Amino acid sequence: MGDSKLYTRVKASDILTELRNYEKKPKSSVYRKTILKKIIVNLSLGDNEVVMLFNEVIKLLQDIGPTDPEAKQLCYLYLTTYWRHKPKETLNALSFITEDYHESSTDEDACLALRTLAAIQLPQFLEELVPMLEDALQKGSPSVRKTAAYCVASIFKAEDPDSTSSLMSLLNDLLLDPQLEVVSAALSALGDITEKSETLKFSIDSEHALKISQSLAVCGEWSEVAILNALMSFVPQDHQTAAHIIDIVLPYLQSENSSIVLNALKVIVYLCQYVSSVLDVLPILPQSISRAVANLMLKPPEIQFLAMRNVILLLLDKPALLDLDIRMFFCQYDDLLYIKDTKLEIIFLLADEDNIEIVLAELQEYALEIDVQMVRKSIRAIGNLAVKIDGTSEKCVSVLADLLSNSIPHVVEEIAIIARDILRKYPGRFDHIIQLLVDRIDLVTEQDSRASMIWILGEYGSSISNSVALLSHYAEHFLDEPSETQLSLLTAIVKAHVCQPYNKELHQLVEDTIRLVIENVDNPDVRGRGYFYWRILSAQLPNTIDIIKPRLPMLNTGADALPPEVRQELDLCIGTLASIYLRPVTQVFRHVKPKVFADSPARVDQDLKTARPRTSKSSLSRASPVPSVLSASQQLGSLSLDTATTRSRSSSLGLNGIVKKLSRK
Amino acid sequence: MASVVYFLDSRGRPLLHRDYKWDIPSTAIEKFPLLLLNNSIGQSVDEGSTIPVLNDNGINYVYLLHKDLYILALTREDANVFSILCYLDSMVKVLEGYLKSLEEESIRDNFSVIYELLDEMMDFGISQITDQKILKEYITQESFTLNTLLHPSGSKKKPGSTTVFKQRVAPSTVTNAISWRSPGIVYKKNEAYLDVVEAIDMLVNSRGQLLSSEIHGAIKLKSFLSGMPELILGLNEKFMKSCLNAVRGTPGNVSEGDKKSIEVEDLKFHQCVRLGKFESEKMISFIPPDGECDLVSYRVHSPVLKPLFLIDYKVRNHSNTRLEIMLKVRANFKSRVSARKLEIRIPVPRDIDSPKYHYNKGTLKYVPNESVILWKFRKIDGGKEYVMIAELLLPSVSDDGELEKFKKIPINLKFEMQGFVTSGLQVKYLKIREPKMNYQSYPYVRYITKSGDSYEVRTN
Repeated sequence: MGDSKLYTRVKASDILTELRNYEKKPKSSVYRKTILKKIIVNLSLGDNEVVMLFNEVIKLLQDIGPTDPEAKQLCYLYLTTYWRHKPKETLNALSFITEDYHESSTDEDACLALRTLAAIQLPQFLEELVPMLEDALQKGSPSVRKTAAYCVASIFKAEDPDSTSSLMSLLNDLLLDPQLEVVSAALSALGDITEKSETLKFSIDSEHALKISQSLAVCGEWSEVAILNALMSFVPQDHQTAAHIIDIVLPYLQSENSSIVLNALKVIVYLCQYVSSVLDVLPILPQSISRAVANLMLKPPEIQFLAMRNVILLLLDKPALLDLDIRMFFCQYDDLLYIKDTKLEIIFLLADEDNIEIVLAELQEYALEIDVQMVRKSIRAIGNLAVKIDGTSEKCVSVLADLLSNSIPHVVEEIAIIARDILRKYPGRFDHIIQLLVDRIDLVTEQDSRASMIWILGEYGSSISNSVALLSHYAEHFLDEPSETQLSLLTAIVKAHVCQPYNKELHQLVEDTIRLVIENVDNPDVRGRGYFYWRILSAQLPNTIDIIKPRLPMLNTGADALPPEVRQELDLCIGTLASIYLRPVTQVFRHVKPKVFADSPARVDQDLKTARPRTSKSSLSRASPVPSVLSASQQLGSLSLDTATTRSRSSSLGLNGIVKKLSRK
Repeated sequence: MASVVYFLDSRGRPLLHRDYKWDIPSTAIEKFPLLLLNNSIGQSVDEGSTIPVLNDNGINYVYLLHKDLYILALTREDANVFSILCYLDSMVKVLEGYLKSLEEESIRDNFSVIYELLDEMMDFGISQITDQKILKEYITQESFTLNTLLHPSGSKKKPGSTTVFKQRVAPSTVTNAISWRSPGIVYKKNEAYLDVVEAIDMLVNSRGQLLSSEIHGAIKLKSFLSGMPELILGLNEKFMKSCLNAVRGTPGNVSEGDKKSIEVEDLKFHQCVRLGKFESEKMISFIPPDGECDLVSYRVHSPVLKPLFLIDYKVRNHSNTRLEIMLKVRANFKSRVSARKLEIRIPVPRDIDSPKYHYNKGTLKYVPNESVILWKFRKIDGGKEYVMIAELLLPSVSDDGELEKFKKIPINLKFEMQGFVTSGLQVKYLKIREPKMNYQSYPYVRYITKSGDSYEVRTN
C-alpha cells in the first residue's frame, strides 16, 4: 500500500494518545515510522499543531537511533521546521546529531547531520558545528566537503563575520580542490556569502578564471552553472583574456540544459564589454547566440517565456549581438496567452522596413482570431509600428483600413484607439481613415474607444461632414455617461466650436452642454471644467483658439528608452529575476547590492546598439573562408553603414513604451 | 537560488514542501492563488494567462504547471531564475521517473521518498544532482506507483510498506569525472543499438505552400555493454562537414547549384561525447552511459523540403445545420517508399451529431473529446491518393464563434517511415572497444522518419 491512507489531517492530541497507548506494548519500528509519517504529513499540510509533539519526536529519534535512515531523515525534517518554536527542547537533540556525525559510517549520514546542524541556528548548535565544519572542510570526503561548503554559507551572518572567520579561509582553500564538484560548491558558497556581506568581495584573477572555464568541459551540469556564475566575478584586465574566455564558453550555448545556455549567454554578454570591437574578433557571436535562442524556443512554455524576456533585454540594449529570424516568434494557435503576449512584444521590436510585409501579414492574421485579447493586442502592435517607423506607416494604415472594412466591433474599437496616435504623428496624411471610423461609429461602445472617437471628432471635426450631428448624438445622453467620457465630450464640443465659430448648430450645442454641466453634473471636476470653458468663451479673448486647441506636441517615440545605467545593470542580470521584471535590481530587491561593471583597463564602451543587417548566411565567409580580422572588419563596417541610420531609430524605442503600449488591455 | 520548493494542488493548497534556507515566512504561500488571479492577463485564470514569475512583497514566486499541480520555488534574492525553473523542470522529470506519474495521488503515496529525493537534488537552494540514473543508485526507498494500486499484482512483497534498508552508499559517480557511468557493469552479450530518428515539423498553408519546416533529429543509443567501453561513431562525410560548420558557426561554403546540401543548424551532444576531439579530430568518441541516451541531437533547416503529404480540404456549410467536409490526401513521395501509421486529425466543431463518412481507404472515427475526425491508415504507399467525405449534423444550439473557431485549427498529421531519413545522415560505423575486457560486440542501426509534434496543414 502507498502512504496515501496516512495522508489526512489528524489532531495532534490524537497522535499523542496513540503514542501513549503504544508505549505499553513492545516497540516495533514499523509502528514508530507510521506515527512519524503521520506527523510529517500534518507538517506538509501546514498544520502547525504538531509542534506540541516536539518532545515525542526527539524521543522517537533517540529510540530509532541511527539505524533507520528514512525515519531519521523525517525526524530531522521535523526538527529543522520547528526548532524556532521550541529552542530549549531542541537542545536535547544536539548530542544525538553530533554523535550521528562522528559515528556516521557513510558520507550520506555525515552530510545529513551537518546540514541539519547548520539549519538550526541556535548559538549552542553553532558552537558545536564550527569545529565540525573545520574538520569536514579539510578531511572530509568530496561529498562531505561539498556539503560543508554550503553549510558555511548558510551559517554565515553579515552582522557577525568573526564567528565564522576561521571557516572562510578554509572555504577559500576549497577553490583549489582537486574535485571540480567541490570547487563549484565553494564558488557558489562564496558567491552567496559575498552577496550578503558588506565588506567581503569576491574576485577571480585571470589565471583562475581561465582554469575554471577550462574545467567546464569535465564537470556535471549544475556545476557548470555554478562556474559560469562565478565567472561573472572575474574582471578581465586585457582584451585577449576576455576574448579567450568567450571562446571557451561559446559552445555551452548549445547545451541541453537551458540553465547552462542562459548563464553562458550572461557571461558572454558581460565579457563583451571588455573586448574591443568584439564583433570583429568574434564574428560568429550573433549567429551562435541566435541559434541558442532558437533552441530555447523549443522548450516548455515557462522556459520559453524567460528566454524571450532576455531576448527583449538584449534587443533593447545590444541588438548587434543578435541575428534573429523574426519568424521564430510567430505565434502558434495553441501557445499560452502569456507566450503570445511576449512574442508580440518581440515581433514589435524586431519589425523594420525590410520585414514589414511578413510582419503585417502575420499580425493581420492574429487580428482575425477568435481571442479578443489577442486581436486587440495585435491591432495595437500594428498601430504602434506605424508610429514607430515612418517608412512602414503607409502599409500599416492600409492593413488597418482593411481590417476596418470587416466591421467587427472589437476590431473597430481598438483601431479607434490607435488611430488617435497615428493621426497625431502624421497630421494630414491618413485622414481617409477618419471617415472609415466615423462610418462605423455605432459599433464603438467601449469607454476608451469612445473617448478616442470623441477626441477625433473634436480635433478633426472640420473635415468630417457630419461631426456636429455625431457630437450632438453623443451629447444627448450626456448625464448618463461616466465622468471621463463627459470630460472628453465637453472638451471635444468646445474645440469643435472654436474651430467653426459660425456654425449655428454647434453654437447651440456648446451653450446647451455647458449649461447642462454647470447645472446638473455633480462631479466637481466636470463642473469645474464647464465653468472654465464658460468663462474663457465669454471673455472672447483673441487667442481663445490657442488656449483651447493648442498645437499638439509631437509624439515622441524615442524618449522613453531605459537610462543607460539601468541598461548596463540589466546586462549583468541576464537569466536572473531582474531580467524578467526588466527593472533595476535595487528597485525590486531591497537587500541586494547594486550591480556595476567593474572598471579595468580592458573596459570598452562600444556601441552594440545598432543592429546589423541579417547577413545572408553565405555572404560573410564565402568571400574569405578564414577571415583575417582586418578584412572581416572592413566588410562588416561597410555592411552596417547603410542601414545604421534607419535602424537606430527603431531600436531606441524604450521599454516603458512597449510594455505600456502593449499591455494596456 | 531557491529558498523553498512547494508542491500545490490545483486549488493552490500545499501538498508538500521542502525548505532550504528558512528565510521565507510560511504565510507567503497562502498568497499565491490570489497572486495568480491578480496578475492574470486574460479574463480568467485559465492555464497560461499568468506569467510564471511573480513578485509580491519582496518575495518572488517562480512556478510551473505540471498536470494539475503547481510546482513552485520561492526566493528573496535576485536569483538566477533560469536555473530555478530548469531545476523545477528536471525535478519533475526525476519524480516522474520515480513515481511513473507525478500527481496529487502519487505525491501522497510517496511523500517520504520525495522528501529524500528533494534532499539529494538540492542543497542550500543550489541544484545538485538531477540525473535519475545516479539518484537511483542511492535512494533506496521503493516508490509506490499508482498502477499497482489499480491492478494489485500477485507479488507478496508490498512495495512501500516493507522497505529493506541497504546501507546507503553514495556511488563514486557523484564526484567522479565520468559521472554518467558506474564501473563494474557486466553483460553476457554486448550489444549496442543506434536509432537515427528524425521528426519533421512542418506548417503548410491551404494552397500547399510550405510556411515553415524543421527537422529535429537525434541519434539515440541504447547500449548493453560491459565495463568502460570506448565508442567511436562515424558519420557520412557530408553530414560531418555540416556538423562542424554548425559547431564552429561558420556557414558552409555551399555552392548555389548544390540544392541537396544539408544545413545543420545546431548540434548537441550528450555530455559523454568529447567535444574537444570532435572539433580537432572530427571524431565522435565517447564512453556511453549504460542503457538509453540521446547521443546527438540536431536540427536541420532545409528550405527545399517538399511536403510529404498534399492535402486538399473543402468544407461546405448547409445553413448551419449540416457540414460537409471533403479531404483529399496524396502521398507525395516515391512509390517504393511507404508511410506507416498515418493519422490525419481533421478538426470539427464541438458536439457534432451522427457523422457519416464516404472514403476509399483506412478507417474513420469521430473523437469527441478532441473535436476531430481521425482518419487512420495502417500503411500508405507513395504516389497514392485517397479521398474522404464526412457529413456532420451540427448541434441545434451552437454559437457562431464555435463554427468559426474550428476552421482556425490546422489539420494535424502523424506518420512514421522506416529505412531512411530526410537529412541524408548516414552512419558509417560504430566502433566499440573495451580496453580491459576486449569482448565481441554487436552494433545495430535503424533509420526512422516521423512527424514531429506539429506537422500541420492550415485550412484557410
